[in-house]
Amino acid sequence: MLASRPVRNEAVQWERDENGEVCITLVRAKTWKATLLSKLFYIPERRKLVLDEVGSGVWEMCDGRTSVEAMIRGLSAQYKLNPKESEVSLLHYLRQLGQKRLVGFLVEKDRVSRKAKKT
Amino acid sequence: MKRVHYEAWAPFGWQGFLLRVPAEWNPGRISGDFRSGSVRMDDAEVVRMEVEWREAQGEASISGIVDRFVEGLTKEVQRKKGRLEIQRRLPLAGDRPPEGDQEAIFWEADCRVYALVRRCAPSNRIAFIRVIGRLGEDLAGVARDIFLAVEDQGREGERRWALYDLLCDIPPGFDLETSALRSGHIQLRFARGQGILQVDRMSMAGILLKERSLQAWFEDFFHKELRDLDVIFHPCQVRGHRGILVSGRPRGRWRTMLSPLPLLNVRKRLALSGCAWHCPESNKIYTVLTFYKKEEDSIPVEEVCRGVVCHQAESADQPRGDARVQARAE
Repeated sequence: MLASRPVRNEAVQWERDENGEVCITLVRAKTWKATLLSKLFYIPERRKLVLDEVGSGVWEMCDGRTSVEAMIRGLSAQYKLNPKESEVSLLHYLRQLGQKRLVGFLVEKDRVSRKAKKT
Repeated sequence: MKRVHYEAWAPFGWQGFLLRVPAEWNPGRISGDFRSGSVRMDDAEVVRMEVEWREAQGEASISGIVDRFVEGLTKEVQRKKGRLEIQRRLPLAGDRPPEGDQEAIFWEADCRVYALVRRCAPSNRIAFIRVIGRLGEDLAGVARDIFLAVEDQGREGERRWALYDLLCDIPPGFDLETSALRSGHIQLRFARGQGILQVDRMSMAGILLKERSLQAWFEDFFHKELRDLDVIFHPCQVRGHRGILVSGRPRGRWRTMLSPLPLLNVRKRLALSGCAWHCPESNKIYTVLTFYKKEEDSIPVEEVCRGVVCHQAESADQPRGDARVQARAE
């Protein structure tokens, strides 16, 4: 996980607002389930997700080049955090972004094949 | 064999034990109390150290305890049909036991472990400290540095607590009641009789105080603690930082009775005396709160604040420095 490089979902639209915070626009999925549910309940077609200062910084770092380990080091230095504190918070946050399919994680090919061999 | 070496070291103090450990090792699991308990320290990848302690109950010598441990370990490895190498009486913990007897041992099975078993006379406890390395790692130097610096602070005197950049000296007689080790917020709450002493450390102070004052943040963060108190704030200086002194008296009984569900939610009527300050150097907010019933149980908050180290400019070995808490009425 620490060696992986988070990358933003290219399909996600985002911008910086006037406060410098990242504003992500979430579009309702075009699946039959979502369409059916939207007939029964109010589900907006577009929803805005505004990240705070730290979240925006992390989002910017999800460029596919910066590893999670480097992010931890960066956050620790920027906010004078203990590396463990940064690690716990960052992993939790990245997991949330991953669950919402806003980011993916790039992993070195040889690392994956080595792990597969082990198992 | 790869020799492991660490540049940065940090104090770790818990339940009377004070150790110096590599700065990248952090507590992964903590359990128990002063009488018996354990702490596990991890680095970013693996478990690096385990400290276990329990009250000594008229046991045989330390070598007898080690005999029994080695016997158990040998049986366990034999059952797994593994390989085991044991070396005993290693000169890793110094020739002269500073307090009580001790023995350092090493074993290699599925990992390489240097261990110190020590009878700690000041607190009458037996401590078992294991420094764990992977196969192919030489941690002897690291283990020696850790074992030589192990200190048992006993129960009677002032005790130093240190973890995750928080380092504080707690006055005698206070036992840890609860602890919260969250990312960004560490809280240690101690009790002595009717008196309570609470030390909090909040990270990312710059963000917490971006759009509000320290007092506004304090009132919001500790609203539960303050809700039955009439509170007065005074500005103060702590370790050269701007802070606030807080004092609170319990509200009138009639006023408390009128609050919702007073009988189902009975709280002790405790007075508050505390202090909070923002340390820009470490980007943290520190608070020291003391709760007490009678004036004679109160703890001088200035004394406790002097024992809380907020930034690295001060020597970790001399946390008291020249810190002062100066109250100045507005």
